[in-house]
Amino acid sequence: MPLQEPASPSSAASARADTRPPLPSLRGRLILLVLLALLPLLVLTLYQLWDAHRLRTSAAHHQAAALADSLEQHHAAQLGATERILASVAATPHVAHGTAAQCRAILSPVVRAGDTFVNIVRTSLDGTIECSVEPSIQTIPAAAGPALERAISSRRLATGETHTPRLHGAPPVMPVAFPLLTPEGAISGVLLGGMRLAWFDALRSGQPALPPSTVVVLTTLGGDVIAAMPPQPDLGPTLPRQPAPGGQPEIWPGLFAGDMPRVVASTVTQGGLRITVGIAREATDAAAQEDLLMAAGVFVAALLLALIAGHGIARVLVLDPLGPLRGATARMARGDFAGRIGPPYRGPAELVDLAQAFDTMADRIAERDLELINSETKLLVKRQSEERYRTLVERAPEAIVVVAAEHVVFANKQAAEVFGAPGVRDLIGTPLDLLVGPADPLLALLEAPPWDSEPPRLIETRLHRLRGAAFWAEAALAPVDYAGRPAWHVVVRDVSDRKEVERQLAQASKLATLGEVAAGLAHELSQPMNVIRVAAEAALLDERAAPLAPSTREHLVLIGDQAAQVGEIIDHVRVFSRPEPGERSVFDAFGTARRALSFLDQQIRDDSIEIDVWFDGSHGSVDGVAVHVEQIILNLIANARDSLRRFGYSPSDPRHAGWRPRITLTGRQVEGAQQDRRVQLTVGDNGGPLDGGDLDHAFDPFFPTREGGKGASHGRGLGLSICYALATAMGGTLSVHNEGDGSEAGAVFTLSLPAALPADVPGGVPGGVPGDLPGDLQVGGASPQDTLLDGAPAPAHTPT
Amino acid sequence: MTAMLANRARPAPAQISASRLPANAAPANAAPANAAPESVPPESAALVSQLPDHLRTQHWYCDLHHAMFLILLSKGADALAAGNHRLSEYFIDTVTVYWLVHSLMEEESMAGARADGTLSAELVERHTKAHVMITKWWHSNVLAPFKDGAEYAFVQANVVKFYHMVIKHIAEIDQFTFGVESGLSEREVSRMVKRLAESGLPLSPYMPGCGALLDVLAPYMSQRLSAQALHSGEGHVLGQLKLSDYSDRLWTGGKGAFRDVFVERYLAASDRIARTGKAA
Repeated sequence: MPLQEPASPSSAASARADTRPPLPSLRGRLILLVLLALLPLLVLTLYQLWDAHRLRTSAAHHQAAALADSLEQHHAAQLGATERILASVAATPHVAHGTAAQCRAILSPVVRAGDTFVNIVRTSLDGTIECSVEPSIQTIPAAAGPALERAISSRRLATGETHTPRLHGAPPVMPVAFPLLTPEGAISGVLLGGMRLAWFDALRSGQPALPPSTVVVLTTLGGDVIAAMPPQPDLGPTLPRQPAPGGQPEIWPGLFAGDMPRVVASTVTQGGLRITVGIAREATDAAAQEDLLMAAGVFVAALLLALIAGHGIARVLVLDPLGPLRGATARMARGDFAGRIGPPYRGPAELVDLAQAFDTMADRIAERDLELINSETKLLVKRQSEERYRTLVERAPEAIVVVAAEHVVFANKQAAEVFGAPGVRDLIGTPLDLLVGPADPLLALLEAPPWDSEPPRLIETRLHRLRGAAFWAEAALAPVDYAGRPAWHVVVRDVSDRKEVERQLAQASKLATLGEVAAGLAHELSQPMNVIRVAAEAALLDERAAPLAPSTREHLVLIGDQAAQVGEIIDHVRVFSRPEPGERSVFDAFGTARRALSFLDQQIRDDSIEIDVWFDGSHGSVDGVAVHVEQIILNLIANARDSLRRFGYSPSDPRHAGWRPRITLTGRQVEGAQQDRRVQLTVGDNGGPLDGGDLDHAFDPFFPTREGGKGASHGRGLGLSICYALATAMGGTLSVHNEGDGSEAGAVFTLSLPAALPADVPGGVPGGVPGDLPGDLQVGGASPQDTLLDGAPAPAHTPT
Repeated sequence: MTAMLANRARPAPAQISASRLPANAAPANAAPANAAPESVPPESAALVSQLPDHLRTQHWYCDLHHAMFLILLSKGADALAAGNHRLSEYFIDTVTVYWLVHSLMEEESMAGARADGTLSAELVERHTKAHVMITKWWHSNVLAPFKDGAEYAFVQANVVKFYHMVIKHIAEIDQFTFGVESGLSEREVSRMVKRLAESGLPLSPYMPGCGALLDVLAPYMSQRLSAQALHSGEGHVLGQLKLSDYSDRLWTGGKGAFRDVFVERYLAASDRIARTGKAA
């Protein structure tokens, strides 16, 4: 599964921007809330505007309808008047039966006197004109024919199809026909007249006055346009649509091409006319627009008022009380957890609760922050302390490993070096059996987790380097708790060199002992051999007195020769068994003594013997053989140890209460003349005094001074004699005396060696302060730590 | 919904009934305008006013100040519990002065130790940051609420909190800086104390210069102290100073440690300063 790249800050910011809600500002939302409260008012206003518009449309329709009705009534009235006129004229005999002249004389005043008729003719039943006011009229118009027929058939006034005269501005004319009846009631003829629609013409002069933007259109029932008032040039021959029946308000887009929308109403008149009244809608809209403007103004004012009020309300009721909380939150975001909002807390109850909760939270965070700093400080100091200890362990001159679960879990650099690992990491994790031989008891010991109370152990064994080579090591084991589990803390010291030196010393000691034995044997055997040889030679000399048998003489000669030969051999042995003088040099006798002590140090500790070491402030430079001094001190310490072992000391043994076996090693320089300066080394113990005879013969070969202690080999009585020989060979002395009283009494052996001459000491004066000497000559002297603060050399007294 | 119920200021005097005051805790000089709290946090009874052995550092001035804190805070908590306004104000003001003086004192010691290389920068940074945080906490939770008229119980609870905060600071930071956990030798700490004694810094509210010190370190707190908070007539006169010769900031966060602020705001414009090792 591919890893997703972490979001960059910019992308996170853009993501935040994408998810930014509309109206993120609380102030904006509050204002919106106030505006939403105005929404019903807006709806109500719009409804009122719509209703007003509807009412105005309806009113316009009513106005149009009323006008149409009014015109229709005018028309009916004119028709009634026309009928009355024609009826009265028709009752005139000259009109009904007279001649044309008589008839015209009657009819002419009727036509001329008023504006009702454009002409009146008398026709026969077949439509022949018998009399006409206008003499030019010879035939009846086609439009009058239907009226003639309807009048004959109905025996009353009938009308024909209205038409508009071709004269410009002439009103429409409606044909009317009235039957002429004889006294017997028969129809003798018909009066035909062209009746001007005077009511229509009156509209032109404003009787009645038309409302503004009002058009009155006369049409036939079929929709053919007859006339319009005011005249409309663009009026077509027919209306675009027929008015709907029922009188519902209708709004037409226009009565003719290019006309404006109109509210239309119509009515049908007697005589087959349709009066259509159209009132321009804009006339009604104008009032509506005024209302709309008024309402919009009021609404905008209310809106502005709401905005101002909303802003103020939001500020006073919400934003201002939120201010402290907002500021405190911002401070907290900057890492300042100490800021508080109250007390006192002010504002709405919810915000007070919020502020108190915020303060509680901030208080807890501040406390946690302080806790964190405290913990960090403790951790820091512990880390620094751990760093110091880690450095100590890392740079310790001895190899340190920690073993747990049969593996190395920790190692320092020296351990890696000792075990031949390229680095520490290469040693960590190494199985234990690669480092410890399979048959080594140490392996079994380390494989088992230690008990808490397990005492530290010191084990000398052979360990293996990672490359396989074995080496002698001294391992100090202690139980530890490592990362929560029991482990062994092991300090490993490579003692291969020391073991080799010990081996060589042991070998040298054996050889020396053998040589001393040989010397002793030679000493013991040389006398008998001399006696044998002398006796054999004496027997041969006695042959003068009593001749010997040849065989006897041969035997005596053989005895003498062989004895002489043995004597020579013994002499050779005596010569070879003399102590080797060795290579003389100037060396530090104190350091040599310390080194000798170190060979037996652990064994002595194992026997619970206390070692008390004391050297004065000098460096103890002597002129002699270092190996011999080392061998002498080693022998003296081993003797002291053996003498103390025999007590089988145990701290818990009540017989040993108040007493502890102790070996004392001291060194001092004895001042005197240049050539008399001596360096004295003493080895003493508190294992009891030597008898007087022992003191006298202590350095005799084969003179054991004491029995060996527990587990020690019995002395052969040669060591001290060898030591004595070595000491004297270097121009020194070895002596013994008793010291101490009671349980602390014991023997003290003193090795006295000539101090080195100043000229022989490289870079310094023997017997001076240690600081005058090169460092390598200060091994056995007082160390810098052993000096007092005032600079005077202090005795080095090191109980161990 | 908009019930304005949340002003938790002390009750007005008329609302206080004398019978509600503890019988043995109504001092004659108690401010009549203040009331005893209705309840006293039980922790206050457990405050000890003696510095326990495990809180003793190797730093003489630290121990002296720490002991004073325990005394002042425990007595201050008692005064608040008793509703004694004048005494409460005295203790709160004195603790305020003491804390700022103490912080600067410790930081001057740490600056000297930094110059000697005996303390790590990390440790000093954390320690000084803790000073600033504790100071802000005291201001926000004790000093400002008390001066603004918060309830005694509220202030007293925070004084008790502060007491424990100081204890933790001593145990978990001071001990690791100057005390037994610091790894410093007695000689090194003695050197710190010696330097402080020679520095000329006011080391208690009773020493001249505290006012000037407070004005520089925390003017927002200094302005809130009562006129009697500084016991010396020379409270606003700082004498000749001889600070350790360490010029780096002890804490790089915020406005810096108190010593950083002091050095920047006051010493930079003053000639009454001499660094250790230089002529005053």
